[in-house]
Amino acid sequence: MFHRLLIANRGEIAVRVIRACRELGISPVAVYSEADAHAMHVRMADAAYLIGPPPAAESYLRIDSILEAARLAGAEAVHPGYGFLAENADFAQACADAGLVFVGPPPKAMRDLGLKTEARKLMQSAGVPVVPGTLEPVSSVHEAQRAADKTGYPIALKAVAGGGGKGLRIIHESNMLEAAFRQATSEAGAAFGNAAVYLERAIARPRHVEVQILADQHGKCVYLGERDCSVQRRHQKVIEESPSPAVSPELRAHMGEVAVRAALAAGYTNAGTVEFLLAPSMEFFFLEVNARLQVEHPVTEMVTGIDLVHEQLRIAAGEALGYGQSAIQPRGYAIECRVYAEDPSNGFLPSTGKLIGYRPPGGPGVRVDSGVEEDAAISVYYDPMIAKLIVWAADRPRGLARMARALDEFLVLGVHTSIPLHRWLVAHPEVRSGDVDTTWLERTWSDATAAQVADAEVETAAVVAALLADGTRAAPAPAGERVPDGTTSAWRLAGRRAALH
Amino acid sequence: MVTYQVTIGERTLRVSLRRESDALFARVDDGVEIRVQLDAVRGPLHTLLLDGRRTEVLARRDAAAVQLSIGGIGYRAEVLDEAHARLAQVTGARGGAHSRRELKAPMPGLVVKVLAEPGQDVEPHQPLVVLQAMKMENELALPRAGRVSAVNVQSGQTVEAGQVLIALEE
Repeated sequence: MFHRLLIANRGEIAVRVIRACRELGISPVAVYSEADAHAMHVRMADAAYLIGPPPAAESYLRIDSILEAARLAGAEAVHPGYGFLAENADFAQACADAGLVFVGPPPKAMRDLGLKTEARKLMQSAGVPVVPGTLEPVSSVHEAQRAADKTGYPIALKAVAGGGGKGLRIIHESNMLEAAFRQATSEAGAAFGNAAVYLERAIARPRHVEVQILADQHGKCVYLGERDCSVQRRHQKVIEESPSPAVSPELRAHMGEVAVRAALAAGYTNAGTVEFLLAPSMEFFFLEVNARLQVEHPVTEMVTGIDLVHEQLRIAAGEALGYGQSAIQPRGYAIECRVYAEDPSNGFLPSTGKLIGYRPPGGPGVRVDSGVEEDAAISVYYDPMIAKLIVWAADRPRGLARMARALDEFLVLGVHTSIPLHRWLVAHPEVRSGDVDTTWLERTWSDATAAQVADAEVETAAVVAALLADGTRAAPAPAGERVPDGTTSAWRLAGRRAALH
Repeated sequence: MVTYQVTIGERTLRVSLRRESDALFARVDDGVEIRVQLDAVRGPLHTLLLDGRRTEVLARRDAAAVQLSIGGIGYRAEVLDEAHARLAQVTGARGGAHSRRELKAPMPGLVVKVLAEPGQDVEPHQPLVVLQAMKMENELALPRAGRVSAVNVQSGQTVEAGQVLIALEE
């Protein structure tokens, strides 16, 4: 095992990896930007290196600075977390060239899986079902037209180098194709520096179901069940759960075996996620491989009892998986809510500021992965996620009830958060019955819903505000009529003052 | 009995507080009167007893407003006592009304698109400016309708938090 490992990330995931390092007796090394000098991940590490100014492009994305920090620290390995450089094959290669172990898949697998058309070709030849469509980029409207006629409408145009919904267009009729093709290519070019797009059939109302895999460097690969991430907004996951309410044991085993086949075909090692679209017909199709640890990995950890970061580090150090598929027996149910600093009642606008108050929930089956605490600043520079709230319970109804309880306990003051959205979600009949797909949230959430959610406690808030204002006014203890205040202690003090007159 | 005018977002609520021996009762607008008790625990943490039921609340008051978090929902409340509320009505000096005519940048960022021009009539919640910040493109809008009187920014421009981007006529 490594003695010293550098974490090329910040926030909750850096904290998560540092904790795993401590448990395995590895000395963790942090890097940080000027905005993060006092951040939790910096304080928890054995050593920390400043790598640049706040903007990520000048710090957390600077391969040269990070490698220099690793050299100064005497680190043997680098964990990239997620985001930033996690899926950057050049970074993985640069680590290898500098004699550092990159905790992740080999650069070649990252490159092959990074381009969607390449990944589709690779998967199809490995017998992994892909959405019907083109295996090569379509280079002209004419070519797209021909391919679309063959596939049948509705179709999706997707960026070859894409992700996150950029360069994605759904087209229902052929007369819309020309404009959509132009938009998709220009958007893809602007976002990824690669304007190439390909075409596939648009699956109506799919679920997003992904399979966690672990592959060691000795040719062994296992799957750790699925996560259902169908509740999404603008292609961003909002809640994730395992097991999926839509997946039967037979389908789970089938998807798991296909995911393992996909990973082996790509020469994949370490932890990874094979994402699938699950159609209402229960047909499933390869979407992409996320070649990294995912934000929602704790959901799988809670149901399998396997620490994915420990496994990542062991695999990277060359150890063999010490168990086979039959040893992995998921138990119970887990769900994660991503708590963002954003305002659901105001168009999900990011909310910046200082966490004046922060009181995360606790108790049985509750896990909070966070990189913030009271008085921390939520800045404009980085992802606005404050915390991941994960709960485990024996089954889904109990898990949703526990999540509702935990959300009630979660108090944040200073920034708006997505907690009201999560409270609304876990109480929603269609979420409770599991009857959702990737378009459900955007179909169901409206301005009216947002207003209703925001208004839920408005009277209580008004009363508290009035009581606080009243209390302050009472403090100077005027000689005449005494204004009642809202706090027992202040009232008693006022009573004592009155007695002294 | 003391009455306060509390403005939260677009809503203004009237909160009347009445003390009877050692108990305090609150009424919101014309609703029922409820026995209330607010105790400070430490820092911003308070407990609120509403008709015998306890809720934890985070709250902090500064010069301009009260910031609150109740049941995971954040609120910013401006409180005026009755006398000041009446005064404000006469002078038209209520802080809230003016600010709601102006679209301010909620955070520093880059203006990606300006979607309104001077003289244009806009609907409530109609996107007026697209601001890129925190890796996201954010559509900014105002809660009210009106005619655009000023557009102070153009696409490609970097703005500071609080900078007025667009203003509507009175």
